Amino acid sequence: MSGWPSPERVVEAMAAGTGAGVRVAVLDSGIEISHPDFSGRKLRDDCVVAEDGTLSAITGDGSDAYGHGTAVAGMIWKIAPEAEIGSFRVLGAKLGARTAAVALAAQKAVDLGYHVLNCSFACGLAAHLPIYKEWLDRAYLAGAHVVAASDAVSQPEWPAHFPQVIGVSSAGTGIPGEMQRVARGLVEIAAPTENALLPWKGGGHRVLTGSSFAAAKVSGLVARILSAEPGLDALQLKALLRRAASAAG
Amino acid sequence: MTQHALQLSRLAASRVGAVFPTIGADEGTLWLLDEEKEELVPVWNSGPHAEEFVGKHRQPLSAGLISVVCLTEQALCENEVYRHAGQDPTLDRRLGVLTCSMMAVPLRAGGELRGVVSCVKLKKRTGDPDPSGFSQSDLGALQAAVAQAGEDFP
Repeated sequence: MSGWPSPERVVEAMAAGTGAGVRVAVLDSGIEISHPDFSGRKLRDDCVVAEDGTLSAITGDGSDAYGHGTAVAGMIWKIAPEAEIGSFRVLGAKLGARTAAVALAAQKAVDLGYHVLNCSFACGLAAHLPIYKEWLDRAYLAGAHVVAASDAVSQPEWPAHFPQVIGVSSAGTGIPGEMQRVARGLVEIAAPTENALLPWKGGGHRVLTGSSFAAAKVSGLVARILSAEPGLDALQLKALLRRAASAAG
Repeated sequence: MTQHALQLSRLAASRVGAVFPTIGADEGTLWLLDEEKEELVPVWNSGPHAEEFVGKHRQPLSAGLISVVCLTEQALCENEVYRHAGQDPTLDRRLGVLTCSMMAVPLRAGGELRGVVSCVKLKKRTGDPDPSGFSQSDLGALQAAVAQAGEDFP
């Protein structure tokens, strides 16, 4: 890309972009692709990180272990209907294996050429910081954009608290707008999503509020921007997003 | 669950319990992860049915909205709970209530996930109007109380 688009151009792209040509990796609990809301859609990839200790990525079956990943995908497609979504199941009953599973799936997503990695989860353990740093650095060098949820009130959490990551909370600033600049700490974007009706496991829906879905909303907005302005690197896009969020407010 | 952890959890529960009336919650529960980190165990509940499931129920991390909060370490609020497909009505039926809204917030101490605090708004009698749902600001208030409670843990 030569030169930077103006914040106004980014606001236009956020309003008019469709996500066409943008690949979004959803690192979550899986995506129930047979859900009626996703009729006619396909997953670009469907990977599951096996929990047998070997941590190898295996092919998924289009299901969601909980429903959370389905809701996240529903929000992303609601905002960016032409984005291509891939499912990388990293959330499962074995909590202790989560950080390693996330690292493996993130690397896989980067290798497969995903432009956006949506992480609607967090980890507060300082001991896991080097693992997060390693894959986030790789994603950054590959030009991928990482969007991560965070609602930590007083403690750091990862991946949202890395400067190259777009950290998103659901707690709005009270200023109207789809996306707001939060001028405190490393989580710089708020995207209120109160009472969003989202698809859930089993073909149903739930009325949900939380940073998980705020991050998904911003991933959708990032996909919209990238469909109009491909080639923005992670720091360019984050800087533009901050200014666009302020402008929107 | 060690005796020390239980004592601390009671202290944390008193902090969290104080916020429930201010956000209109009918009752709430403090769930702690077991040592294997495979199940959530309710160690305190503020409602009239506490004896029916505190110490008796175990929630495996393989299912349920509270497990989702545990796995994502992100707070979640769900309104219009009983109206939507996929909601497991077993516990409601057992207790004779309808859960209308629920919130759940991860409990961390020193950065480590220790459990989840959840609270609900209930419809106690058929024919009663649904209570208003929890708001984003209710979620923020619960998160702040739980963060404070996390500081009571070792």
